Amino acid sequence: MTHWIGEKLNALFSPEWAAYVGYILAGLAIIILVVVMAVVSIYLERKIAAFMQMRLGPMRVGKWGTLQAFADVFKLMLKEPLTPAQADKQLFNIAPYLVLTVSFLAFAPIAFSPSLQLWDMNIGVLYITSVSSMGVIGILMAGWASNNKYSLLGAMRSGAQIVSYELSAGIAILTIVMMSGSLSVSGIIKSQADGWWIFKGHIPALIAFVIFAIASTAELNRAPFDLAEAEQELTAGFHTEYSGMQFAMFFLAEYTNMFIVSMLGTTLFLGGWMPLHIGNWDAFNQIMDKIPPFLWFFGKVFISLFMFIWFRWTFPRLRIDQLLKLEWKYLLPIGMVNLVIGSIITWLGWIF
Amino acid sequence: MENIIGSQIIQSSDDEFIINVGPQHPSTHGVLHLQLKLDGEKIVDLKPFLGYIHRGIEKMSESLNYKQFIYLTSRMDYLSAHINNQACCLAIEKAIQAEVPERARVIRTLMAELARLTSHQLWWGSTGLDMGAVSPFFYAFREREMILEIFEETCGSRLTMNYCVPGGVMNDIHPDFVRKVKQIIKQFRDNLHEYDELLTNNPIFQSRTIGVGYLSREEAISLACTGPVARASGISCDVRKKEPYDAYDRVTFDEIITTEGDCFARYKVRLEEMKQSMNIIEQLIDNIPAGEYRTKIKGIIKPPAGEYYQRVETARGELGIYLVSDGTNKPYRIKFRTPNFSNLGALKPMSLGGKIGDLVAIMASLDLIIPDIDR
Amino acid sequence: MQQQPEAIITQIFPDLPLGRWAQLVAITVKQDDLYTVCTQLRQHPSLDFDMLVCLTAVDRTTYLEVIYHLRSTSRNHDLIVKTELNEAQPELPSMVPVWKSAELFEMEIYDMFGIVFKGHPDLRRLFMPEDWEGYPLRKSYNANEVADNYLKSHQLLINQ
Repeated sequence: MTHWIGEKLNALFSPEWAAYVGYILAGLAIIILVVVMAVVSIYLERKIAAFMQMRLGPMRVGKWGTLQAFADVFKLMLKEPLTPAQADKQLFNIAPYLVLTVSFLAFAPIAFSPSLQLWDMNIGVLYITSVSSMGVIGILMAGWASNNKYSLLGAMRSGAQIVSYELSAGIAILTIVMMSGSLSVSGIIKSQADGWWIFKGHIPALIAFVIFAIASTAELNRAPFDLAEAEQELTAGFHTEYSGMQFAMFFLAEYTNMFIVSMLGTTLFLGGWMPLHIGNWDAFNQIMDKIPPFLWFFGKVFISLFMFIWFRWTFPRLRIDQLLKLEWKYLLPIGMVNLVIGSIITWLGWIF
Repeated sequence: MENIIGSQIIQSSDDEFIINVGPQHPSTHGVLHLQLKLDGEKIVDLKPFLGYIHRGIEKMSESLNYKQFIYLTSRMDYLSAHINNQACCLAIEKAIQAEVPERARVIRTLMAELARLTSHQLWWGSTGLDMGAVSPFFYAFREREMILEIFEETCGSRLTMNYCVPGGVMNDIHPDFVRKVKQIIKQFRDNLHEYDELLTNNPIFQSRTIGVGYLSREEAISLACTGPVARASGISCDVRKKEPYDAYDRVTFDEIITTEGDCFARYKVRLEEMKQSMNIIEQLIDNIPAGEYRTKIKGIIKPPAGEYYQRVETARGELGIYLVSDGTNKPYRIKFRTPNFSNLGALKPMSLGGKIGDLVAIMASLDLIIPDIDR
Repeated sequence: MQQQPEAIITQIFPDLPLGRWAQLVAITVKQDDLYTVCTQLRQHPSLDFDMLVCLTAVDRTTYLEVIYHLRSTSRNHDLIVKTELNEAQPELPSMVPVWKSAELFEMEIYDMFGIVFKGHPDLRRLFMPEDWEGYPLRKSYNANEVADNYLKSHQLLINQ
């Protein structure tokens, strides 16, 4: 698909212009994709939460409440953007945009289907993890610049939590990278042509999947690790002082990050856009092949999204010391041992 | 049980950080203003500031007559409003030596146990909410709604039911009362396993409440704690057993006492108390004696000059009413000894040395109602 | 059922006047002896009054009456200890070293009646604002007057 668009552009413009127009179109496509996915995930979250709590959720705005997200965005745009008098004005205003930009950047190497990928760089996975870890800077900026003890406490907690859990997430990712032998996204997906890593890599990949799920829930500041924005304790933590569009930016960034993490997990563990093949059941495999790859990809992404939403509305919250203890005393050692075992198993050729 | 905190005084260092919790705060169950001195995340000192909902109920009662001041007490501990009214009526009946018919006694007891059930259900829901689990709140309110509907049908109001009068109850129960209460009890018993699955057996909830907020038996007695707070520390103090009033002398139920004294123990005591309340209701619901629902008290109520005392067991502890009468139709002095006032004193020893997250868990397990403290 | 400690009380405190207050056994103690009597009540093994259930006061126009309601959880008996105070200078020793529940009760009585408890760790107004004048539960207190003065002095009245 990208080739087709490339040819059309080259036919219309000179090569340089074609490149620039191509970049602009790609950027626009990503922005539209993010907005659509944010709207869909906001609606999903509210409906799923409602059904788990025996109530209906948004029902009035649009048929079955589908336009609720637009109503919310409209309301947030009309709110007065207040800056506290003694806040550090430059940092205060930049912080939400920094967090959002970082989330957008991570979309570059992700493969939605064999022909839909912005930039197939050979260090795709490394790029995603390093870029998304810059989001911590934005959170700390927001907490500090708000000139509010509660925000500062919330930002500190959040910073400590994100930095710690990146280690475990990184080790889980490393396990799969090592098993597939490539850092590039397309390389990893191609290596899953005969089965998803979660099935091929059996025990080490399964453990890595569980660790990745827990670590990424913590990185997203979502329950049960949402201490940084817990209303009952610190009145919304680091984004207490933000209102209107700036608050919407944080909100949007959280949902975008949720998508990125889901997409990364899908690429690494669940086969990306590869369809589900079961052994030698040829007829079954051919039917699975008929479903277009981008539907496979988004289907898997929505399943992991559902898992994140399910966690949030079921579990109570962990205390900050319990959170950090879980990471440093349990997840990290288990992850490292798993990595060693996984490498031994791969070297011995005991994976499928 | 690694972090048994509480009852320790920490030396404060130079990095002190004073934070105000409240008065408007999602987790203080009312308008309670706490000033915390923090050293990092540890709480070094705690001071409560009250008075945000002080309405002067005791002073107001001195200018109202004996039938009127009863309904001010519904607004004190509004979750056990009926039990507060019952206490006042019992005190007045003791003063004027009125006979209450059997039917009225049993009806008052039934409504009191239903009120205790609604209070504990709301406590359970808001405990989950404070810990971060939002869904249990809705599950708790599912059953609570049905009981509140019964209240509305019987007395006209869902929360501040002004149903007790000196001499009995204001109106007779409606014909569908027995059937509906039985239906609710059956449904609640069937759904009780969900309460355990959602919170009690959840490892995250257990790790946040086991070992947190320890209150020893001696300290609880010295602080005059009553109710589930005291019973979880091993003190036997249920007024329904010690000085039975109304129909409590003819029902059998267990007094739930544990000795661990931490948040999880208080949680389990209240869960068990809900089951005991259902037992009491089941024993009484089929045998409501026929007869009068109220003794008509002629004229203006003028108790003889002197002092009168009555205590009852509300959902949170022992409520004592000290009534000083000078022979006129208005009380000379009324003192309400509310359970939450003394339970508030337990907050400081339990939270010192812990973290703010523990403070939230302790407040949820103490189950304070601030209008009861401020009156 | 609660028991009445009349016999033991007359044995240990033979010269204190014994009476009844709301059907509970009551002894009247002078202001100066209050601390020693209370410590004895707390520590004597056959009395063992370990809980101060309630501490309240009644304004009897000519004098202030302070009521201590004690309970023993081990012996299962209740006792009322009464003192009578002069309205002009009401002072009492604080019972916080004996029973911890006295801390909040004494703050409330200071706020509502103006009785000063010497030795209390943190005696401050509990319900009323810090700069309130007057003691609300006294019979001589005129609520409307005090409230109007307070609002005027803080410039909070709207139509003045």
